[in-house]
Amino acid sequence: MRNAFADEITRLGASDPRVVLLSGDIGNKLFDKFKQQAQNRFYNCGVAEANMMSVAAGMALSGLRPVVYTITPFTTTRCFEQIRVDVCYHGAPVVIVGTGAGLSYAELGPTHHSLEDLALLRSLPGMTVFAPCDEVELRLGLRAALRQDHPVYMRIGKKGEPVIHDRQPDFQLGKAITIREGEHVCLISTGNMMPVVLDAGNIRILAQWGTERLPNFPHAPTLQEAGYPDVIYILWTGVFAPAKQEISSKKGKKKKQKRKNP
Amino acid sequence: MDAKIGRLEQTARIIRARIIENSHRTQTPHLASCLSCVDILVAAYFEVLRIDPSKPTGKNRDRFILSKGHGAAALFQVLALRGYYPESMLDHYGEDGSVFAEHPPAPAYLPGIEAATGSLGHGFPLGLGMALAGRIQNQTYRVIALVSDGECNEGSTWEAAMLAAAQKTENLGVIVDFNKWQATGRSEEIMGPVSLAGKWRAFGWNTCEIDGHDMGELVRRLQQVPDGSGKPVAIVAHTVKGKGVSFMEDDNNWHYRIPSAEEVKAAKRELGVPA
Repeated sequence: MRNAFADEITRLGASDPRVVLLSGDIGNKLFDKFKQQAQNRFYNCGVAEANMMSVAAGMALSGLRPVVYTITPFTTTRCFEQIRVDVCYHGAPVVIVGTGAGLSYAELGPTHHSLEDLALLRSLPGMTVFAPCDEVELRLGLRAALRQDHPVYMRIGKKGEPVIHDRQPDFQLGKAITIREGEHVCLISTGNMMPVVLDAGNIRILAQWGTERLPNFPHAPTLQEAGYPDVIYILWTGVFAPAKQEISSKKGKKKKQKRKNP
Repeated sequence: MDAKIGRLEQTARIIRARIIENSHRTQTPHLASCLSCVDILVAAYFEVLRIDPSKPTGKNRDRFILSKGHGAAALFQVLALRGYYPESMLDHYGEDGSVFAEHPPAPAYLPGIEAATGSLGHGFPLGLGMALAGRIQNQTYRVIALVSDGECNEGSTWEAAMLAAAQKTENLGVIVDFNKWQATGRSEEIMGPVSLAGKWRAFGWNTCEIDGHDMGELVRRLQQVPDGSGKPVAIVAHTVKGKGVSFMEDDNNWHYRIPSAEEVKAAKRELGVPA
């Protein structure tokens, strides 16, 4: 999604001289094309997100359409008061983009996770919150966001996400899109959870191995009921270790034991 | 020039008297913080800024941001006297539904206000955004942000100072109301005795130190934004908290204290403003 964002903001920046891109010292080379075409409308604001958000609000109050881009916690929780006061209370049309939203930067550790941003930004009056499920929605959403006269928060993933929409959906900010028709269950999803939810829709319980049906899954037959009376399912667990393996006790440290005959 | 400065000084005395009266009438605090920046506000609004109160949102107007939002009671009086709205509006100060609270409202609610401030460390960065926007759009307006020395505790103040210098934002000026006090104590005791002007210089700003109650000096320095150096301009204005009234000067109790009717009378007598 990051690459699609860079590509789309470059296009939009070319056609709208009000578009200014502010980055919190990330996106190395990602915005080279934007910088080439509009050098005076790209600002690397350094590792100073609170100031970046206020600067964006000041620009928006002066007739521009700033887009603020950095990793999700730093563009939301790090500078929440600047969003609350400078952006939302002033009704400044700033587009805030959080990349690597949710756990899509899982490997970067908890400092880079964002599990609160949707709830926090939803609580702000005047703020539109939007989470595209793929790059098709991202491009449509970014175009729509820049047409708003009020703040928009857009949380996006990182890269390599599957494309969900095989054609242009009927897209409107605030309106749900039906991805797959069905009969018994309605699954509602948004953003980078969409592929997971679609996969969940592909799973059906064929049978369960107990002798009686489970209260939580009354529709799942037992193996016997499903026509496999002879199947026996045994679950066992154990720990394998090489001979003379040291095994730490719970308290560790001095209580290491050597087992002579494992 | 001298006659003009004399008129500005007289305006400042009238504004001070009105702020003190208003504090008593509406029982609102921050009196001493307001009094310390009156001269700065008067120099800016009555002499330096290229503004037209009949066109408060004119595209190329100079922007003045009261980043120390707790000086709102001073700004409200200045804007009224400058003609942004009828002075009679101030009769409803502090009432339910009034736009006049202890900090400035959003610009949509009151002509002349450029930013809703009060949470410190916001107004100056907002002003930086406005200054950069002016440059992007080939406008010639200037942005002046008035910050307090207490506000220089805020990290965002220095974040903005760094970016402004890096971007050579020469249409931006910061004036520090350096009254040596913050809400609950001496500024240098709370956050360190390092030279404030030295800090702005170290952050890449063209910095000067002036007497923040010398009207002629205020006008001269504020008019030098931009000053042709290619750098943003920082004016560290040495001020006295509670300036203008002997029993309030440099007494931090007046950060929150409300004057009695007798004290209002005494203050006006000192200011030479009729009761």
